[in-house]
Amino acid sequence: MVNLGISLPIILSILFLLVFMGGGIFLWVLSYHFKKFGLPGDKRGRWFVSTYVLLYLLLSIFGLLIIYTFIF
Amino acid sequence: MAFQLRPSEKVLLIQRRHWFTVFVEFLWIALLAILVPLVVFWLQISSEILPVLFDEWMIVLLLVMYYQLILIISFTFLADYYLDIWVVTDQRLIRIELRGFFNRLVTTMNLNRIQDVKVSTKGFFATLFTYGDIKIQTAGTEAEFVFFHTPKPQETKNLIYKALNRRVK
Repeated sequence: MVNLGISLPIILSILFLLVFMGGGIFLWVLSYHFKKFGLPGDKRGRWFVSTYVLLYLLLSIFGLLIIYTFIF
Repeated sequence: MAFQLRPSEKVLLIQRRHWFTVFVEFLWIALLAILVPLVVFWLQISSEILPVLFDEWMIVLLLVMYYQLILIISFTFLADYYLDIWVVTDQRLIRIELRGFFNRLVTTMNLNRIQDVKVSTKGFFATLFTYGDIKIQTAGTEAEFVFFHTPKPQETKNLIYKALNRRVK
């Protein structure tokens, strides 16, 4: 690996955490919109939100596992 | 809920944009989701720069971040599609529009203010999948009420006229 002066794995980890937190806030805000402005008793909207949150969490856990395995 | 019904008000129709318009957006997202990893994989095999710069796990981590972004962008498109709703009731028209985060527009128009309803279907796909714009002109200087890319616009127009006629009687 090329020596960049600063550790590339640490930069990537910080970048991942930023994307993880930023995306999480983004998803939370959008989910709030679905809850607040969706039609009453709308099951499909809730299903969309649950699926997206679940996929996002799975991806995030996978990313965290990679960081945990290769950095710590 | 984004709007409150008046007492004795009945909902006749709830509509969103035609599914094809959001399908096109998702098609681009799917293309990006497939193409970028393929390019990365190709660079990993053919180029010597990428393996020198990044270990394999770093590339996987970058791809995970990429897919997180793809997921968020597609969710934004979905929310924009799903939360923009047009409601036709027996008393008025209601348009609920998500214009960005924390920017939501709810417009209502009483049926008795309607002067003219125009339907326009432009383009090959709009003709094929039967969707178009409905422009509703009102009395006075108020802005036009427009339903963009609505499915079966002619049927919606007929429904609005039926509701209007019942209201006049």
